[in-house]
Amino acid sequence: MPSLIRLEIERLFRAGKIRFLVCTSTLIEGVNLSCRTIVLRGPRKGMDHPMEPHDFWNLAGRAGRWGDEFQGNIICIDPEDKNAWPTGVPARARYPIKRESDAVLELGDGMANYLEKRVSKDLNELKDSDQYEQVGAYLLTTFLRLGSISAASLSKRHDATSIARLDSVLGALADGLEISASMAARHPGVSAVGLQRLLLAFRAYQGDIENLLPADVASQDSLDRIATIMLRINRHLFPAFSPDSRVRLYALIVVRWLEGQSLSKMIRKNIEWHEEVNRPFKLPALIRSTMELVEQVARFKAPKYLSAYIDVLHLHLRQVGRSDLIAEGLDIGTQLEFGVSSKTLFSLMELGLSRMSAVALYEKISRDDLDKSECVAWVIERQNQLGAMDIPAIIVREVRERILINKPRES
Amino acid sequence: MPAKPITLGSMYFKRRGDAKAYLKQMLNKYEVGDRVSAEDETILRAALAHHSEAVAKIGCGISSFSVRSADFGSQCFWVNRTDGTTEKFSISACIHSK
Repeated sequence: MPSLIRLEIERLFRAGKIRFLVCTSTLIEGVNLSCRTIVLRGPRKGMDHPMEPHDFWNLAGRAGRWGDEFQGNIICIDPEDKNAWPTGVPARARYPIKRESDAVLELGDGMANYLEKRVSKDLNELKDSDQYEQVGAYLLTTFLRLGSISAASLSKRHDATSIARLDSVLGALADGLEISASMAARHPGVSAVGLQRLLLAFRAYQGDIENLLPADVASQDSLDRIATIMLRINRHLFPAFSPDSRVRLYALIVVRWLEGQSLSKMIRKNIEWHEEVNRPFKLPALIRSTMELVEQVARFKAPKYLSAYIDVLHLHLRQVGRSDLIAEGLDIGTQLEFGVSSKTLFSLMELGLSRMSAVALYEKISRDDLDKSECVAWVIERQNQLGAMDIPAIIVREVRERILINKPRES
Repeated sequence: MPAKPITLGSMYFKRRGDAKAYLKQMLNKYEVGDRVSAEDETILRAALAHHSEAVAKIGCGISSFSVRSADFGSQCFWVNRTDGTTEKFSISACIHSK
């Protein structure tokens, strides 16, 4: 849900204008919203997955408004119904937080075995890679920084033999690496072994070196170029965009996100595609899957692995004397995080506008290259016409609050 | 059927089939999203001039060529025009038209 709408709901709820809110747990979770009574019946996390006890109690903790009453009410409907509550109503208990690295290391030699195979094995043959890759990457980067993981605090929490074995495996991996500790540290969760393999792949590349770079988002090559880059990432860095058959879809989502398309527009385009190819769909599932693609791919996997790809590529370009190809401007990680590729869009978000508002205003401005002061000037010039420009009222309100009232003072 | 030679830029092919094979090999050298090299561009300009709809394909003028995806997971050449438009074209239509 766009943050502007969420904030508006919050405001209306707190003001008592909305008295009853029927919603999923997502609305309650990240938000400053509390109420007198919460009514639940078999809360799920995502599709069909019963909510874990710690999440249930977190949610329940929203009952009881600070300053208004001393306690809140949690009403559980049909508590005996096994369909609604497969694991019953959660009991009160302590739920300790465990470090993921510890949890994985406790699985015994699995981690060391995985690391041994990491260099040589075809990435698609690596079993349990999701579990081990993140922690393995973290361990290797720690090793590169400290020279040994026995020096890290995590070693105090595991037995000496396991640590020693890990140290020796990590040492063997580090031996073949040209990747520096600082580069590895810039990409948490991305294995330095993968970074090294990608560097070697760049060196072995037979084509025109310029084709290794991403194309301008606005250019016609950009979609296919992103798809090819994702395939290279899958092959050499980590199969993040698997299976290969879905790469075109992932690339499409990334490009649309970077173009500044709104979520609703992307959902609409997805619906249109299904209608064009005559593929049946269920609207709620389509909406959910589009949003999931944006969250998981455009805003998570893409920035994570594309930044690593670019960083290694820049290293390669410097090594072969082609630093001239290193582009200026916003790094792709930031572009993807915000879902912007043009200077104007980024300037608007730097001024404090939400993405939804920035995109709406960008569509009216229609110029790609405005800096912050130019954006402010554009708005000031039209401040009395904003209401008549077919822009939703809550967006106009945000624009006024961010740009007209809090204008940066020129000295 | 007698062989009909064809010249593409500086390259002379005794048989049309050889020219087609050469262009196919060129196409497969690239990955989707690639910009075609300057050398290969010279050959493609000549090939496009032989296309059955050459005038329409060339339009206001050629700026460069790219390789992008086509139907069913294949890839083909696209002409990028000086006015920013782009269009795909087939190798066969270049070789077997005249």
